[in-house]
Amino acid sequence: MAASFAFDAIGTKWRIDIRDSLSVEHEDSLLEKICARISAYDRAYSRFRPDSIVTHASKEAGSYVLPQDSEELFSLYKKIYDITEGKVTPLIGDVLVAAGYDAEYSLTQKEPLTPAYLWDEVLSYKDSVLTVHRPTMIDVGAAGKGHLIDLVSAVIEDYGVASYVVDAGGDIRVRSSESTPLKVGLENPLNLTEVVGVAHIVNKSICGSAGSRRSWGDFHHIIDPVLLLSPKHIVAVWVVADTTFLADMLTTALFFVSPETLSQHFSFEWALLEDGMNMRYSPQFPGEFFSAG
Amino acid sequence: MDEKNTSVSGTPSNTKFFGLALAAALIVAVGGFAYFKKVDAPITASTSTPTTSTKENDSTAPTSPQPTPTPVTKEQVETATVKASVFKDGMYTTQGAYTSPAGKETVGITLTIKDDVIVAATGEVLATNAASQKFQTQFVAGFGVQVVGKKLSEVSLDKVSGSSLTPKGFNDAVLKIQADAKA
Repeated sequence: MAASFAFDAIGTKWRIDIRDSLSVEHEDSLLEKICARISAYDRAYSRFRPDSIVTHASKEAGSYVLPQDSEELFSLYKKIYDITEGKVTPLIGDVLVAAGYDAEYSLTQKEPLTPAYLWDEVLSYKDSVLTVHRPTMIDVGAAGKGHLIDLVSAVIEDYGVASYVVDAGGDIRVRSSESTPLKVGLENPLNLTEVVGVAHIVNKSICGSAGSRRSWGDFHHIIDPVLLLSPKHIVAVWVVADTTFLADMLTTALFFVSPETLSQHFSFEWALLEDGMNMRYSPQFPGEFFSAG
Repeated sequence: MDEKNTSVSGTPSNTKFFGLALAAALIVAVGGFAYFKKVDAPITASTSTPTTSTKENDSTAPTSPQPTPTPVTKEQVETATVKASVFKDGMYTTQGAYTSPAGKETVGITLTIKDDVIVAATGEVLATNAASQKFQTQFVAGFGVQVVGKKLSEVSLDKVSGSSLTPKGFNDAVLKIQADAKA
């Protein structure tokens, strides 16, 4: 019997569709394992939880043992940090908090912003041990959700499931033994009852990010760690890649560097909605756009 | 017209490149229009199959459309477009031939014309040489299209993507709209 799970976690709505047959017992234990996986991730990396490891690291310098999944998390973060010359950084946490994007969602700037620390100044990571040389708020928001979607998918695949869709607030991973694509609407950030195109996803992940959402004052959820401003030249961005982790990270990176630059390091398809409803996209983007013509 | 400068941390070189690429597309469109064939297929990023011909201005066409990016001011492009105000609405596609340092190469270009305005331009990488493929990929990547929103109720979708970490998921919005439509 196919199964569907819907729940709220890490501040967003999850919807998981299992298309393969599962016994009722397996269904129950799978859901339990998924929730445990999400919970473990949250306890380590959520800066919205008072008891998380990153919250502790924001209060006291020292070495912290992270789960094993931190290996790939910090490895990709360091790679993207170098490629974007520090624009995409886990050290953006203190800036976000100062700007008002804090655990209480105050959305009120508390103090003048100061540029984020440089990676080598404050961070070192080796074999699951993160050392912060001074108290600093780590924020893995650029890729954490995508990373977690992949980790949850690994739990699902451990049950022998080959066909499934994991959707966490519009970031979606699709795996299927059939070639029928999942039709994913590209939401119009200026009118939430509309879409500006449709992506066709087969055995890939798609992530989207829009500057118009989660915005307050002059800021939205992405802030330049040096200029201390939110990029406004891109209205929305979508990335299709092999993993949700990579797709999620690249949506943030595209607010700072060109798709051509990122294409030299990663394999992905992209679509950028610029000011004035101009959509730029990679030639092989799997989908269609609704043209003004 | 003043261009709005809201870019605070973008990549100016990329923006500039896009301008050049589009300008080049417009030159190809206007100068070599006779070489464009109308296509009845729906718009995709890589359509290039010529079907019926709708040549309009044979005599003014150069012998070979050059896809080399050349700076053109906005005024020049607009004037050229207005002068040739005889284009039939539709999708036109061609292959532009040029000689690269590595030899002869072609690049595919598809334009959509409506009311004598190019509303969409897409490119297709057809180069065989690796360096040419790289340049053509950058060239076609600069292409874009003016998009409009369609109501969720008008489109058949499985999911919606765009609002990262927004608690009220769009699947709910889709369901609500569908429910409202049925009520």
